Amino acid sequence: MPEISLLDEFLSESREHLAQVEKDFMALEKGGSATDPEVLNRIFRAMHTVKGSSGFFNLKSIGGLAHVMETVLDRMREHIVLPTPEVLDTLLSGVDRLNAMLADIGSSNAQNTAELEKKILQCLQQQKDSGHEVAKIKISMEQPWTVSEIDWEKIPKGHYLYRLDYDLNIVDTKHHLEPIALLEYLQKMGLVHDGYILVSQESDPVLYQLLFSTVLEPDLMSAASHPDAAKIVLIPIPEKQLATKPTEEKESVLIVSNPLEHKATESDSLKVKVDILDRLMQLAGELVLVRNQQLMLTEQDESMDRGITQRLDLVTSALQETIMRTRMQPIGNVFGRFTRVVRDLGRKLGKNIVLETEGNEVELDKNILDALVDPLTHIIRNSCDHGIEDPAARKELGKAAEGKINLRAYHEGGQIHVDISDDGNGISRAAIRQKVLEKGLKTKDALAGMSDAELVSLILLPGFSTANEVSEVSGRGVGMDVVKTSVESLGGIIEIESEEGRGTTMHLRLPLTLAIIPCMVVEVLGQRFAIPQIDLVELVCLYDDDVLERVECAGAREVFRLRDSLLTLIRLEEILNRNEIFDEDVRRQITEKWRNQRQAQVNEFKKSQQNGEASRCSLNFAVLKVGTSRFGLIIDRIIGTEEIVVKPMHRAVKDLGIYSGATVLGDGSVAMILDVLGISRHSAIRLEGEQKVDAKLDAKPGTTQSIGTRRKLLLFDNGRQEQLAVPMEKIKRIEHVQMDKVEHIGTREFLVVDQQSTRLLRLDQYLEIASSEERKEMYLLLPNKYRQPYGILISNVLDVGEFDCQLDHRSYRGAGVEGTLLIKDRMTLLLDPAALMGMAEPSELEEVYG
Amino acid sequence: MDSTVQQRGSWQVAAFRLDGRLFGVDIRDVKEVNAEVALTRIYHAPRHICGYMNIRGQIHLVVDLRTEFGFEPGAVCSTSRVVIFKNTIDEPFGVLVDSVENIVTLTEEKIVDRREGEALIDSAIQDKRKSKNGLCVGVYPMEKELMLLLDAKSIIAN
Repeated sequence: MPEISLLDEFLSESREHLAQVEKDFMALEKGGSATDPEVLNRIFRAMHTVKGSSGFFNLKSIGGLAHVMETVLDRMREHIVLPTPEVLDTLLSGVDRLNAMLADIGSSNAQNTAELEKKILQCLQQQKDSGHEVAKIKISMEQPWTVSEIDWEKIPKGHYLYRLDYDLNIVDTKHHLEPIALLEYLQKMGLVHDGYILVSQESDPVLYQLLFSTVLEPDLMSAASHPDAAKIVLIPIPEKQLATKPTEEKESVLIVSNPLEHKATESDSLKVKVDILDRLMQLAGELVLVRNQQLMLTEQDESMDRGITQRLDLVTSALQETIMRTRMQPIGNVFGRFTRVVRDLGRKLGKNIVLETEGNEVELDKNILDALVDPLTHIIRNSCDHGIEDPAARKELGKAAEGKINLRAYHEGGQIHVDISDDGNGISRAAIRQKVLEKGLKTKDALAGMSDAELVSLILLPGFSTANEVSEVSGRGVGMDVVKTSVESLGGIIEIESEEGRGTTMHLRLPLTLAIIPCMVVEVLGQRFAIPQIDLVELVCLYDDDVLERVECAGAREVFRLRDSLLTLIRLEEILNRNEIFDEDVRRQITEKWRNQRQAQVNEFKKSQQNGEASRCSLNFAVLKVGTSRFGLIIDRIIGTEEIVVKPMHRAVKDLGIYSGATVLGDGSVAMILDVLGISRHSAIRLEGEQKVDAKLDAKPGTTQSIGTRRKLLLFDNGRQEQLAVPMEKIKRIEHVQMDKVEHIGTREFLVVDQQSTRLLRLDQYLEIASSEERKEMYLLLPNKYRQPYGILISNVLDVGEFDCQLDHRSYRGAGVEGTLLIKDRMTLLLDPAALMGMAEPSELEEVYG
Repeated sequence: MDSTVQQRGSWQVAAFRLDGRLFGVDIRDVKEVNAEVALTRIYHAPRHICGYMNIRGQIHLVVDLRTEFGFEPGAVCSTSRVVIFKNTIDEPFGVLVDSVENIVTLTEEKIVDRREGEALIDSAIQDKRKSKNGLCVGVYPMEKELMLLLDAKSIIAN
């Protein structure tokens, strides 16, 4: 076996050749007989090169198949075979097979290509059947090469020239030789100058005619060349040719005989190893820093020549940019292959579809480009299969018979946008609804509350596929969720627009490169950190009173009411300062500490305001997403956005979960890149999906008893035994209270909350449950919509989240309790705060929700 | 490093100080000594890791050899240096030292092997475990004091 690197070269070259061949076939089909003959020549040359190089590596199957294809192509050049769709289909399947064999080069020789080769050879046959210039096939002539055609110069001195007529069927069945093996066998004895495969009548032998020269005399020749399979004809060599052309010129003749080959190897591109590019990139980075230092020096020293520094600046920037561009490839490289995909699918589905591409020149990082192929293929297949209608249906709808798929790439806002749109029938909303309900992906209620865009985006859910039947083309159960996952793994986003009856547009947004990502740079503890933009939803800055009022404590966590959702807040400072993954106690400590600090901060602010000083207090947090859930990360300061080059973590600190890498910022300092998932794990806060506080339910409390649906609940415990819950919508907020501040009036207990005396309700006084654990600090649930200030005293908040509310009314009966349900495998009492308050003060019952 | 000790009559070490004591590493393992100590702390990292430092576009991990040997971590001061090792030793890294001394040429015969010099090593550094794990490869008696010879490859490995 020759060197591995040579083989690699052969593989990548052959793939490039085949890709070009495929493109040219498309051009050929489109252009028909008017196509530039150079296109066909290029195909032929490419195929010839593949054949030739495969011989060098002893790849028999590849060589054999390429040879057969070359034969047909040669006939095509002579206009004996015409590039009809059928012929091109066959040839393209040959290209596919070659690609497949190249992909698994080790076992390529074991593959049997005889069937396909026969099929390809039938192209010659079909053409004849259709009555196309059959006579031109030289089969009818006694001798396919007239004496004048033979290039005498190529025949070495002392050789005899033969014409060998092999019956390929016999060669195959009796001698178990494929044509290529036969050629190899002959090459050992002499030189094969030319060869034709001739197919005559249907049942006739497949004739392989070879022009062969050897030193063997006629009688030896007949013994050596499988006489039962071949007819041997000796062609006399004219004396003068031999005399005038000495053999020394052989080499130059060889080159001249292949002028086309020569041209094919010319190229304006060069293969460079990626690691060399990476090194170059790194060096350019170092140069940038040297330049920065030089710039600073120049600033300081007036006497220095600014001209040189400025040029250094310009050249360095240009150099860096150029090196970055080496990794970039035009997206047209990927778009190109879809012409074929769409054509094939169209034919298979009996639809007439054309693919239009725009923005082929838009460049993307090679890695992204490679990873984009699968998702794009999937989307385009979907468009062909589900999107574009049958020609008949299109006609009925008044659309052009020809369906259109448009691929468009463009730059915008530092990202690459790729739009895939079709003018098909769009996505049926009804079908989505039905499917989602059928598969139990969403409840009816959830669907009803969705916007159109949200509804359409449901097709991205795992396990969703609206195709009624599994077709060969698409709909194998793996659906758009795979597309979504792969686009997101590239740091991209997918959006869908679809108008029923008019078509669908998939909109992909991708970063330019994987190595450079846009980040939000923030500051905590005097150090800067980078948060990838892709994880960032929004930034929130609270000022003054809002800091105290809108951030609340729910159990051992701080939460923020962001629009209709409850957002858990995590303090980056605490995450950084604590090496151990948080537990309940730590979270409680943190929450407590910051609650006090916030209070102090606001007090300070109020005081200074009273004194007429212009001081402000603020709280900044970044809303980050982890999968479908979100949390807010509290930071000290927001610095700004920066494009950063991601560097992997050092081996010794790789296991730290809260970082995804490091980077050098513009000023040369190192900043850690935060891993959003790692941070949420470190905080050990279970993040439910978005915790929506449903405003509608809030307004109509009487209708909240919908059984068997998911509801937002606040989970807490009071005594040592029971787990309790209240619906979130019935709670205004949760207050942390000091029990030593409780005032007693008779049997009643009061606490001052929001400058109001608030009466405490102890659950064990109204329900048959264990009495609460007496602690120094407890929590007060402040119910909604209640004129008299009441608070339900509880000892501990366990969780806030959406739970399945399969209410059981049998296991516990009693006023103030809606029923029982199972949450986290524990029986839980679902309380009705309004009823409880009614029990406490019957006369005030009417005022509840009044 | 052991092999070089045996093969050559003499070799050179870059000498530096930690908590007043003298240490040396093979000069051929050292890429450069950096006087500018600008560290980015890596929260959650083990105690002996000072942080990251950018040296001409390449991020280097900086190890605090003081804590590594059981000394109290010292503050970065004007004599503090970062000794950066070659990339062939490990992923880019360096060690923070209190100060660097001159390059010292050692005579091979005078080097006391780790096993024989165990008592000497033990007396020189606090954290006894560190003397056993291959970080110290030998002891060299200088005119006035002892120099502990360290193996650069073992710094991160341990």
